[in-house]
Amino acid sequence: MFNTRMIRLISFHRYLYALFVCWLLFNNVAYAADSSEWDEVELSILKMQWIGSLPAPPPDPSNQVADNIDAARFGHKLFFDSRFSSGGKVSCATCHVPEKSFTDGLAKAEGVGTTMRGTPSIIGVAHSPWFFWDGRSDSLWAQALSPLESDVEHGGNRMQYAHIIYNDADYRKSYQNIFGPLPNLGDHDRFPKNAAPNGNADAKSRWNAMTETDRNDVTRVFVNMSKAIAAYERLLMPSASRFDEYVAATLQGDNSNALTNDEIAGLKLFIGKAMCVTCHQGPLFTNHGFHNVGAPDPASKKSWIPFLSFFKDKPLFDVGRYKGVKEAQASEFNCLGEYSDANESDCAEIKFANTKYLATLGAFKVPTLRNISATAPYFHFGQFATLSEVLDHYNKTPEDVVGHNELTELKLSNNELAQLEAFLHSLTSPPAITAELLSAPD
Amino acid sequence: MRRFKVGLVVKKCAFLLGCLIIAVTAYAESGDQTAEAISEESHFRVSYKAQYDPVPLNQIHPWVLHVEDMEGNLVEKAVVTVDGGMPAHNHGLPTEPVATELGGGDYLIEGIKFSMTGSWEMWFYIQTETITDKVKFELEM
Ligand code: HEC
Ligand code: HEC
Ligand SMILES: [Cu+2]
Repeated sequence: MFNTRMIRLISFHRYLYALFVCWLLFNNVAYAADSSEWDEVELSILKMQWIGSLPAPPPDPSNQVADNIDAARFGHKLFFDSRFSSGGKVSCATCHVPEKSFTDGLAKAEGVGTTMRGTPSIIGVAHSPWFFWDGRSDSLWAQALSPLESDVEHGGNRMQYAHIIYNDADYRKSYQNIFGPLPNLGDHDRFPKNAAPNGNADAKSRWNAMTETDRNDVTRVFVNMSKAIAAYERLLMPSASRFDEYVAATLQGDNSNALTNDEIAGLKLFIGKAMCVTCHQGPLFTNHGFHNVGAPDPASKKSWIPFLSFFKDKPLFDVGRYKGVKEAQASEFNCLGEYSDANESDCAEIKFANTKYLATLGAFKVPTLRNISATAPYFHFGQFATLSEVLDHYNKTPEDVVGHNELTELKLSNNELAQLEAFLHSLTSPPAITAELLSAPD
Repeated sequence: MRRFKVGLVVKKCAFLLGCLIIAVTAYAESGDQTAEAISEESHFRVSYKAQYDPVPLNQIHPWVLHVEDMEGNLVEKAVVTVDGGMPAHNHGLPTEPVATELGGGDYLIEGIKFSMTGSWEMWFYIQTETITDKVKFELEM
């Protein structure tokens, strides 16, 4: 018979046993939740972010030569050629430096003058339906027109550029093979040295003195050269980074040393608790959308009436997409315009773009995070010098100066922030094209 | 000797449970191609069919909206307008979709795009000569 003492003893043993089972269980659970273990949902997100999930860039029906390899080779030369500028010193590569993942390391870019915003990376850019921080262009070729004639970037004009192509035997041959005959630009009565509809007063008056047909023909050459540059840019895709190596192994169920434990923990935060993946989503770590993340605006130090700013023509604050989408829709070079090769039905992005201020005010294009180690400073004005400053911003999530910040405070610990940062450094890889196409041609 | 980290274990259990819940809900709702709902003031029975299954992320695509009254009569010549967004993020749709009537109670909604993962709402405002009502669909992308 059991006396109370024995009962106590047995129950004590039972208690110990239960404790032991618990310990085993918890230990297992703790083991299973080790940061290198992923559940089904996490694995599907990892796969979504993996470079192996990156398809070929979507076709660009507005550019007939988008996937023409001769056009891309021609475009490569144009991209690096500094003759296409007012002083012969600026090419696309002046600001989009291949070694810096096609950025320049500056808060504001330096061409002939100083730009308003900073230079974004153009790796993988062909996957985007919109270009510039504010999305004011809807194709790569339309985008390229703008720095070429900007008085702070290349500073030249379309007439000058057409002559360069015409007078360079190699360029003239390439151009004509791809696009057909050039107008007779040797006729200097019809085609002056410099002329453009939006240049200085001189260039403008010479432009207006030309016949409409000649003006259209010159603009056509300008557009075609940009379409060739766009074909080149379409080749600028990333190769696999350490992150991709890790995911490739993980998806196969293999162990991988490609990432450190801190980086893995950071990746877990990126796709989980910190919710970075909601916008920095897909193999290029961008959803190509426009979002308001409360970027500080340097102008806010100068004025306390932000509210009034977006009613003005030249708003005091950078209103981002609010203005950009209207500029894109008004541009003669958009998908629906006469220089586009697309049918109207191919132009859904511009036709259905949201122009309401609630959706666009203070919203900027979500940049790719691939090669983020190489593209400091960060944000559209280079507001943040380092990644830890960026993460600090996300952690606090201040209200936006013009619109509404979509995010909420993250409240991550310093250790977690360091892990996130460590992870971001694992996204570096060289572009997936031959070295020949990554530097100026001989 | 190994210390028994109760806090850690509890956290990890909670995390696993969380993941399980997320997994289950994501499985149940992920971007349904079709759904049916009754309008807010119970005037219409509305269903949609998206062009793709599941509803794609980041790709502009059309839906066909089908509208009947509660007796099952087709609702024709209605004016349909579209709104939506992500309430949790305080933003609307990345596009401004447009409706055109196809006939037979069907309305073509062009220009729909979901630009991020998470919970989206689509609102359709349906206006006939006599009735105005709206219907909401929720999608998990
Ligand atoms: C003076 C420096 C400079 C030069 C020269 C320059 N860019 Fe840029 N580029 C920038 C800046 C700054 C931006 C962002 C401007 C903005 O969004 O307002 C930009 C944006 C872009 C973008 C958009 C990227 C995106 O993700 O939306 C592309 C593509 C691009 N440039 C290609 C080119 C090409 C092609 C050329 C040559 C024809 C060129 N750039 C010349 C500085 C420059
Ligand atoms: C709501 C969408 C959204 C979310 C969520 C988001 N980002 Fe961003 N991210 C953006 C946008 C938009 C920009 C550009 C902001 C600007 O320039 O004004 C950006 C910029 C960045 C940059 C700078 C990139 C560059 O080239 O300048 C980094 C780094 C970055 N985000 C990391 C993160 C991390 C890490 C998280 C998670 C903690 C995160 N983002 C969450 C939208 C988002
Ligand atoms: Cu959102």
